[in-house]
Amino acid sequence: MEKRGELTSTQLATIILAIIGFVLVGLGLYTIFEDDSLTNRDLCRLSILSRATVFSAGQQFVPLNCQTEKVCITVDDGAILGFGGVDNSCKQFAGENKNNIDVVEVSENQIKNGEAVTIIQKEVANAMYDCWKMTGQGKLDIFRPGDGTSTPAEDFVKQLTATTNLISLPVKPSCIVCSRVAFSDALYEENKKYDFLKNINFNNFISTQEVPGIGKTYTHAITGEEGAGYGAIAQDEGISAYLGKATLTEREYQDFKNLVINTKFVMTPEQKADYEEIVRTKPNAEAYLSYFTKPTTSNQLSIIFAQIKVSGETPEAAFWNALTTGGIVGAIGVVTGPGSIFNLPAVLIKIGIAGAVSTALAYDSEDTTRKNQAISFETCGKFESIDAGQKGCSLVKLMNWDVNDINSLCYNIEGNL
Amino acid sequence: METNEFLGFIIAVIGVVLLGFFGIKLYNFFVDADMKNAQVFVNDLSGKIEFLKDGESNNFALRGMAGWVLVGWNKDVPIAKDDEIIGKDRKPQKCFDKACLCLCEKSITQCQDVGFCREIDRNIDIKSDGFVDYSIAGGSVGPGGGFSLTKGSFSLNCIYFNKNNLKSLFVEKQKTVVNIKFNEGNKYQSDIDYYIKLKGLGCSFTGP
Repeated sequence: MEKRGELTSTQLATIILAIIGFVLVGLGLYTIFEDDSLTNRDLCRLSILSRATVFSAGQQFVPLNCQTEKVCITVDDGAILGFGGVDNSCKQFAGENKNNIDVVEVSENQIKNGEAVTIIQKEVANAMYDCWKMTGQGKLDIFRPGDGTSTPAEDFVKQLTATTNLISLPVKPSCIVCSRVAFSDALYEENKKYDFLKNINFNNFISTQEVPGIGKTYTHAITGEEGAGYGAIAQDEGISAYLGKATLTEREYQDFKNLVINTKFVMTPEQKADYEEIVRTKPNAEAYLSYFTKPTTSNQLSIIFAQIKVSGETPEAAFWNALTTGGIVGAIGVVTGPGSIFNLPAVLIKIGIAGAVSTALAYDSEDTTRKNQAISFETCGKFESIDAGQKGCSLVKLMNWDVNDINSLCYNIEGNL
Repeated sequence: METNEFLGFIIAVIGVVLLGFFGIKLYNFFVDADMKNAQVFVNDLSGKIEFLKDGESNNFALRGMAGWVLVGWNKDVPIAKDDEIIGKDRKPQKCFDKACLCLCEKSITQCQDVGFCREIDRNIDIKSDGFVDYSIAGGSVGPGGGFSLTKGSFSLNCIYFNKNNLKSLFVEKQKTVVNIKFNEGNKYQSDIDYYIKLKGLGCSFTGP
């Protein structure tokens, strides 16, 4: 006979199973977040996955454990047994923990035989690829809603209110700074001797060189599309040669017009109408082109992952609208991901108003900077998230490390710089 | 006590201990994101200060925390007693008798309760300055009393973050003092609310 209040075997088994389950989950979380053997990138990826697998309102309670990777590209200090070397450090990272800086040294021999140029381009390309992979290839719903002006707690209340009242929160891009790549003064000094940085052509590199161990070019690996990468497009299309020009000669205008009108790429009727309007008159074309910033070189680049959530049916439209009103269009990009929404000419035309960075990277030359613009990889579509139907766009963008430029793209930044 | 009861008791104790342990771990991960972010910010900034050599300076781009204020107190500033308000001349008790760098929510008066502080090994001077130029309709000054003009430079001994975006802070480390400066830029008509907010942070403010 059972006594009142005594646990039945079923209840006891349930309790034990619940405790075991709780312990396993707890151990899992503890192991993941406290494991010292995990790299910063692993921790970031895991925290992104954790963030992406909770409902929107709960996202602010899952911190992103992402640390900006710092890469110093420099020359061999020439020291012998640690003595007599020159200062080859990156001054841009003064005050940063040296243990958190990856130093990439190129030797004089590598500079002479051209290997240094490949090493530099590979570092930047790998950083972009790693950023894209780490952030779930743009398919994960990472950021909490909000416009970057409130705390997580306030955003939580806003989100609940919005959900209750069936209204949409403001659409503002959020970002993670995946990497900062700095070029040392010593590298520039060597360039005075050997003039090797002029050989950098990052566009060409990412569209022709393969990602180690993947067997695909960087462009193909990230976008999933074979064929011409941006480098080829830029050279074939010739459109980018006009960017940053506020005045056009009659001939230049006609050439630009022909390029836009006779583009071989498919456009929607709306896009075609937009482009026809842009080139309908010379002042129109000049006004449009004058918005574009001529790309600049910098001694420090950044690789930014940006994401924007939208509630409308056409995420790509909201994406561009949000970026243009924010003062930055983004960049030349390579269309990819679910849906491949943008056509290439649209992306080519929508070059960054701000934040364009020379794809000659550290090399400052009018000739090379004009024909190259910032690179980004982007994707739009439905996120793989717990909130069914949440749409948005993601991009990985190469930018100069400039606070104003980055703020014009990112209203909200997460992770540790 | 029967064997079954004893077993149940042991399981219960183990369960409670484990629940408590993992509950705390989970709490640390999911609750109080603001304070964690504040802690990360202050640790990050003080880390950069530590790694700077004496005489060295740099511009650091740091992620701002919307609604929070960065402030510092020198070693010789008295600690605020329970009935005193924290301000320029009274520092939070959590600073003890040390110079400290703090990030506080909304106003520096809140620093003891809602803020994170870290000791600094020398004096600290935090300053943000800018220029303001706006008019307020309905003011008592000006022709016909139609509007008043506010124009001139301003400065305050703290740095306010209104957004979660990047802020560029100039940090200079000298032998006896660390200077942290932020340029607020020009504030115009559209920035009135922001300017008023700066005045009400509890920091030492000079300007129109």
